[in-house]
Amino acid sequence: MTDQWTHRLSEYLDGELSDAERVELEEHLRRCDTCIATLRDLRSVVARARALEDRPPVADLWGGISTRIGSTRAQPATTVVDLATRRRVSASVPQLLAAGIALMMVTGGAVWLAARGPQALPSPAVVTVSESTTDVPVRPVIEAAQYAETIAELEHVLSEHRHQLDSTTVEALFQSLAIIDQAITEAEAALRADPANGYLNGHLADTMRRKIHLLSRAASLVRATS
Amino acid sequence: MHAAEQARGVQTLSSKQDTLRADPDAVDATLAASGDVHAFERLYHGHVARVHSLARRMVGHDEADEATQDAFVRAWEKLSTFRGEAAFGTWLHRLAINVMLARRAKRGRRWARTVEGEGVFARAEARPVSPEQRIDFENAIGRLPEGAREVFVLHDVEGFKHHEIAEMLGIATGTSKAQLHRARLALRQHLDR
Amino acid sequence: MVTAILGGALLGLAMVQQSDTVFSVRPDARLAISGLGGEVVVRTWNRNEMRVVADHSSRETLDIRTSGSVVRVGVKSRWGTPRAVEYTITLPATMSVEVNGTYMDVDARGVRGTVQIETVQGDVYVEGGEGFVNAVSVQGDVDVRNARGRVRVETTNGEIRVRNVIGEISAETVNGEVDLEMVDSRSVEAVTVNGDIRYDGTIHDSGRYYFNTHNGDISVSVPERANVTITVSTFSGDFESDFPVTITGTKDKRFSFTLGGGSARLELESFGGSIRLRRPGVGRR
Repeated sequence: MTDQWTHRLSEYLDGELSDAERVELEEHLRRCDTCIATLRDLRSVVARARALEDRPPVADLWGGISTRIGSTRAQPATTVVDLATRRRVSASVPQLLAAGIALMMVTGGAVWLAARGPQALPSPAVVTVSESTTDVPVRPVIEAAQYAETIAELEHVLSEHRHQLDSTTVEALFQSLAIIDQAITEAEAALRADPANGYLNGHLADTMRRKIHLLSRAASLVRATS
Repeated sequence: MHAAEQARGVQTLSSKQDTLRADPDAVDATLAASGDVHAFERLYHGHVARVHSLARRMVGHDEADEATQDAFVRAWEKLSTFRGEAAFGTWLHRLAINVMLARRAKRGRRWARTVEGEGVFARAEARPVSPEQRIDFENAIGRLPEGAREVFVLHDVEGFKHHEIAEMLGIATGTSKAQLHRARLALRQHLDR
Repeated sequence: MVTAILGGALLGLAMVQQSDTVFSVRPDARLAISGLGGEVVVRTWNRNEMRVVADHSSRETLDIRTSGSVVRVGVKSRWGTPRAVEYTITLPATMSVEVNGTYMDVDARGVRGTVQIETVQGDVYVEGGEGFVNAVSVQGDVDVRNARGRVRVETTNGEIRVRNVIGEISAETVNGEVDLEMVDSRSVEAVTVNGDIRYDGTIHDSGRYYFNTHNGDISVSVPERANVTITVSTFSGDFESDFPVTITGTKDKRFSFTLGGGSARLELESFGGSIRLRRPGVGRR
């Protein structure tokens, strides 16, 4: 059974009726069991909708996503050369961190290709080896301010709240951080000696990323235990 | 290319300055914006349940996987526009809703059939459901006619207001209200009692 | 190890009590356990039932809630924060498993659904898992075997071992080695800062394989008929190969070469360690 008010029950429930309409509808509800029952059901539907739980997909969808976004891991600049022709067949730009780890590149007017997809390389019978002699000059300049700020912020969270974590966990985190710092120091020193080294550029950026990730994890552990 | 990379980096730096604040999602979003796929994968795993649940309700079970992938691919492409004003989850969710809604445009013909579907729907709501026909509430949402389903999900599950929904769907506020009411009436037969 | 940490506090305050319950579950349900500390052991059987055995403090009660397809298992404490709990759970093999712990060891075997485990201080051992296996610790070793599907493994201070897996693999630690054995995959990525990396598995045409350590050796098996472009990068390390590779002009220790058609990509990077190519099954260590 429906009447003129049945269709307004949702609006009533949501507080969307004017005062006059609301009073009139409430008056109607006193006499109409059907509308009262419907209203009760509608309330249950709304409550049920709010209580819905999120469920992950049955199949993992990441594979498809990573394929579609190209899954281009930060690439060190490595130049592959076919020795027979001395022709450069592929090159890549290191995908550098924006988050304060922007390694400024001075390309010296060289030609760079954006991505390094699978290339049709010559197929020698056994093995062809080529040296990487055509790397574009690269001078890394750490965009220190923002990187330091991000790191400092995360380190602050960790040191401020380290007492919330088990001492073994804290020890493990600091040990790992020390290892990463050592790696960063070594990579930086190596880069000073060989600023054009694309591998070192990429390696340094990767290692810095890992430091940010580790600190970020540590910060979220702190948050989870507070 | 390089200039562009740098410009993007600089932009990200300045825009993120106030927002990192040790929030792991914000940190990962920033790393991902710089091309760190692992950071993006972490974001994916952290948010896929919510996005996929939205997709199941908005576009139905059959298309949910594809719609979810579309949403994350879109998010990857748009990461540089994430300013950190809202939580990453909120930003992603809003983007996902837009992706789901955009799918409607691609389904013009099916959309047109909704009119017919609504007739069936209107009759169905008056009939009691036998135990054999009983499906759970989630599935019942997926079977609502397009239009009613989207309004219901956006209003009752996601918490949007009618005027916001009207704008998103390009319909009148009154239509949004009417669709919501019809959806609720249909769903009451599928309450777990 | 972890149990011992919390055990002391536990003994002083309350007696250990065992709860044991069996109930029906949907075969496609998902088990979700969150806890502070202790151990979770998961086993499977051919029944649509779940059995939960839990050793917990007498001031706690077992708390099992089912909502839709999710079965949440935990304990409720009458006062104070929950203590270490040791769970042994038996469930239908087709179920998925999700464990979130802080000071927790996890041992899950035989699951054919997805497996997602995160702990902070504790070891993770997974045997099985299909679709997606995510095993994460901070201070602890992670070992995944016999999984099918995407495998993501991460720890900070601990070793990673992946064995007999078919599917995409991503493994990451900071202080520890990564050992990948009997792998059949088109996409493998293994990264550590301080530790060796070993890979013994397929090199599929058009596959991608990336191994990176700062301070450690890399040893990779390359099947005889592999079609792969190999890129080697090191700063102060060495390169050696069990099969003939002629290298010229490697003053900067970065070079690439191709085997066969070269469609797969194998990238090997070690800042200070040696990089070694070998034939499958030969001289693994």
